[in-house]
Amino acid sequence: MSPLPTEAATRGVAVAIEDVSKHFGPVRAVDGVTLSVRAGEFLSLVGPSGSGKTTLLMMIAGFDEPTGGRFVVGGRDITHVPPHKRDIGMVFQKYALFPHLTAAQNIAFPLRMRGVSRAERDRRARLALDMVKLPDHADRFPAQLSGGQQQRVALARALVFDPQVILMDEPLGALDKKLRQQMQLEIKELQQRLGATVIFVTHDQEEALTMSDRVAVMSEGRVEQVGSPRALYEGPDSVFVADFLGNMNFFRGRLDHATGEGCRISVGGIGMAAQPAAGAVAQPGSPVQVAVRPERLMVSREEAGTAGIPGRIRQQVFNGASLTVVIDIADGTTVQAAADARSAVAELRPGDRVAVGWSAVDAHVFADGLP
Amino acid sequence: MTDAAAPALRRRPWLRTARAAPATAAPVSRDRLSRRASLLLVSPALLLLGWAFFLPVAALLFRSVSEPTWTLAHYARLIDEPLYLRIILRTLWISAGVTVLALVLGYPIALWIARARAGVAAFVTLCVLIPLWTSVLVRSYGWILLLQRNGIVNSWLKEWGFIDRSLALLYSETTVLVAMSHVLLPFMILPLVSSLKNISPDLGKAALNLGASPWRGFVHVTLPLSLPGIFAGCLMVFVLSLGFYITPALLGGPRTLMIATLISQQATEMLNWPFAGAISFVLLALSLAITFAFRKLLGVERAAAHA
Repeated sequence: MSPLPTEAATRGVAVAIEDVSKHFGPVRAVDGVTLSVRAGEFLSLVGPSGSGKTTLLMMIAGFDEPTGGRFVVGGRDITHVPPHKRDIGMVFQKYALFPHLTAAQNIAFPLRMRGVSRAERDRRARLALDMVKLPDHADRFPAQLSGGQQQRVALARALVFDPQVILMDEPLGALDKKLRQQMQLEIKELQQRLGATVIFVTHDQEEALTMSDRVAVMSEGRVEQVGSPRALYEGPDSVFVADFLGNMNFFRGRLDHATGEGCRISVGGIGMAAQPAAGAVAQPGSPVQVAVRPERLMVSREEAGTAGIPGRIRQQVFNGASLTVVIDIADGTTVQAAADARSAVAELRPGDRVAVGWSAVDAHVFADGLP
Repeated sequence: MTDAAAPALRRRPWLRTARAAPATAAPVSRDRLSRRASLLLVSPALLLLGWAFFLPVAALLFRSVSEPTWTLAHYARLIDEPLYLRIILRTLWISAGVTVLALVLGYPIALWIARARAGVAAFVTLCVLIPLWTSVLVRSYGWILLLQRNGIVNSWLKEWGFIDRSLALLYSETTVLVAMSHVLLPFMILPLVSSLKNISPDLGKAALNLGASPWRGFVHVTLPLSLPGIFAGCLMVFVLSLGFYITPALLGGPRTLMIATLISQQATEMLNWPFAGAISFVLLALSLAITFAFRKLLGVERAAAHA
């Protein structure tokens, strides 16, 4: 038997998802997904509901057979291995703790199934309970534990048998915001300390950005983009990714000309600099969308000679650390800008005329496929 | 919840929703009026039960100790005569056999209903319910048609050349056992289904994920969690079996007499009402004792199973 999680160094293994599909009749729930997860990496699958992320996770766990493709975990093809022989831990959305077993018995369950002696089981369950900070709750039944405590027991149960990979299916969905943020940090810390490979499914993009080494954004059964949270946030490849992660403003415009590095566009007749997003960009003269993060938008009072897109302040919202101004621009689009609460932007009042601008590196240009 | 139930719930909190729910409704002030109204609403049923059930039963029991004079002779006769003791024991063993058979036959069907897709589950449930809606008399005659000397089973066996002469399939304990299991099967399946449906499918997946084979997952997770349904179904079938009349009377013949048939004989043929009352009391006492024993068992089974 391998050592206890708390006693080991790096034990997570690499996972390769190779061209995996899952079709239900004509519906392609998962459609040719290829992803590689490094040993000890925390990878999030994020996307709207119905994007295939949970179906993909269930196939890795072995509860569902893929229509095509294969899974390789730690060098071993597990595509056709039954779920109980996969050695993959899983934390379920609703915890799935066994209601007739105590916390300690729940945690000892995978060890019992592996024929670990009773004394060893008890010892390891106790250590696992310490690890998730519930040393005094060994004899409680799940119904006697709070949501957060049940979550910790589920986590300990998924870790205690030292699995090669740990899957988590929206494990924090049922918790309130504060507890959720606390658990995010705890799970992350535990994962790093144990060197575990984690594949984490969530529909909460903020959670994915906070916790992950890398994020895979899924949409309609496909992976739209994979990368570090920062790379995805600052360099989205598509309108979908740009829109899905964080807040984003979109301007409608026209491509004037593009060079290798940057491009010139015009928005409402005002010429601006921007950079084309990765992938194919439209021909000069065709309509484009320009995506700019609220915190990258520069707003200044419109005076004669000010460069930028003209607009009018609609509303100003103070939210503690920062300030959000809502601006109507000439073509009817509404955009938001986030600014320091003490900056000059704070002086602006609803109705004031402003000019909106950006640095070329912060503006991502996409071909405008939308009507 | 009562004081007696409280420690049991502390040991087995997963039973809480099932058991404590009716008791948790807090009395509110306007509840007083509705309580009076609800009492009014149940009173016809209570009156009917009182006049048509409790009163005759009490009268019968009274006659069993008061005729011809105050005496326990009828009870003594029941114990002294080996014939009657044998009938009581036979009734107990057939009831136990029917319960076990119904459990073994019913559990897979209940599991199927609980796990199948909605349409399939509805169809199988219907298949379970339709016999329940059919008269016991009809179902028992059905068995006679199947098993009698020139019945379907015998003629097929002869046609296929397995036997030359008809077998005596009717009027044996085995026949009674099988037919009663068939008739009472829905009473086993329905409580099982409801308790199996309460088990989240995630638990089965979790067991697999944690390394339990499908069989061990069943033994360690599904089976213990379905125990309340098993107990409810077994109790229902066992107690119904104890007093079952039509099927054993039709299919059992005189050599497999059971308690209910004996009571009927004494009351309607021998016109020995006091003795019929004594047997009835024994049957009632047995049923109540078994019910309480089952309840007790449900209370302690958990501690034993996972100690």
